[in-house]
Amino acid sequence: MLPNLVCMNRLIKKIHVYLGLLNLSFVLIFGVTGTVATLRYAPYRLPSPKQPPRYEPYEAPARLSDQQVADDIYRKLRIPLTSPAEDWAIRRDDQNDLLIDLYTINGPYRVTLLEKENRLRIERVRESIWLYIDNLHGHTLQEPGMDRPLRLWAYYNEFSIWSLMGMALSGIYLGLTSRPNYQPARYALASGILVFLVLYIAIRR
Amino acid sequence: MYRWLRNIHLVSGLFSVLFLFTYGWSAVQMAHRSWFSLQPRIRETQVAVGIEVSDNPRALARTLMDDYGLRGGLDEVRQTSEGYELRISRPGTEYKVSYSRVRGEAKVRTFRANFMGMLNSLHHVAGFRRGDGLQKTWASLVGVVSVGLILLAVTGIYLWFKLFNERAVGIVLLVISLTYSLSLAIWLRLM
Repeated sequence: MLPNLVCMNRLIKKIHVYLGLLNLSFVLIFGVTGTVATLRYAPYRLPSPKQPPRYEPYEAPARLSDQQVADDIYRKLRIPLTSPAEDWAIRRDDQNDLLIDLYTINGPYRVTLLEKENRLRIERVRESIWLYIDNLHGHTLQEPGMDRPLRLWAYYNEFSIWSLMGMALSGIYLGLTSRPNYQPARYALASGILVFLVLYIAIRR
Repeated sequence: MYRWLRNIHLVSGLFSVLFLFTYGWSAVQMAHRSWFSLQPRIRETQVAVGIEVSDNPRALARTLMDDYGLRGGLDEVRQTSEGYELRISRPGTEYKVSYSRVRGEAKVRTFRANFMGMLNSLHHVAGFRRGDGLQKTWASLVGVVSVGLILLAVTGIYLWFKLFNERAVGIVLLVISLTYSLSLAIWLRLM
């Protein structure tokens, strides 16, 4: 191998290894998320709350709409990791009480406005560890929620997304240059590309 | 052992590379929605259909699939003042159909995702509960690539540890990354 190529290989290998070490947790999270999603047979159902509900006094201002009341409740409760409820997370239940889901990365807080009693019923629904990992993998900078740990996680996620592509690129280079005569590596690359393209075109058409 | 694990790392990594790019690039799109346009190409057609589907959305969907080549799962069926609406969709393509009893025809609006939209759709295909054979084949490859990622991580750690000249820096980086990620993950879980 030419000396320049050897130097280049060393540098790229170093980058590949360092990115791998810096992103080990995320590579595992991506892998576990995909495996769990593949093996999940039953449609997703929100689990029932395991803790008894807590109640807080609240009187809804008379002139506000459901969305405005939901925003007001969000501001009043200040539950960590939540963000203001989107319109799809606000509805009326069978008793015509206002139901608001305040989502967190751990699962939602279900808040029911019991208007006749002037109080809120607050139930915490905790997702399984697998769904928590799924939520971690999907928590990007785009997601709402301004709490510091969430923002720190989103920055790490951003770094890992770019790193994953960096590792893939450097991996191709290393795979093809460090052991150019190793045939299974070439077959693996060719078959991976072929399978991907055939499936992409077939699904797309 | 070293040689064997290096081969697993190499082969599983190279096989998965385009899938990983798909996930990586679509994740960039989801994290930075303003950077990309997901505007689909829209086409509209009218289809004359028989009276037998006037109260049967499933029959209309079947007619559209059999005679007009629409493919995908049926959902979002709802009644309207003129008749009913339904949606047939598969990754990257969505058909919104509105049937009018008065005119005896169905209006089919086809939304074809662009390249980024297609990658986004493929990112969300997983599991074997829904979809046709192609989607299930894709889903099985998602499983293979996901297990491959776990293998890449585990074998990668072993291979790194065997590189004696990279151990010191590597241990520092690994400790920093694990401390950061695990403490955040546990902190968030406990909140």
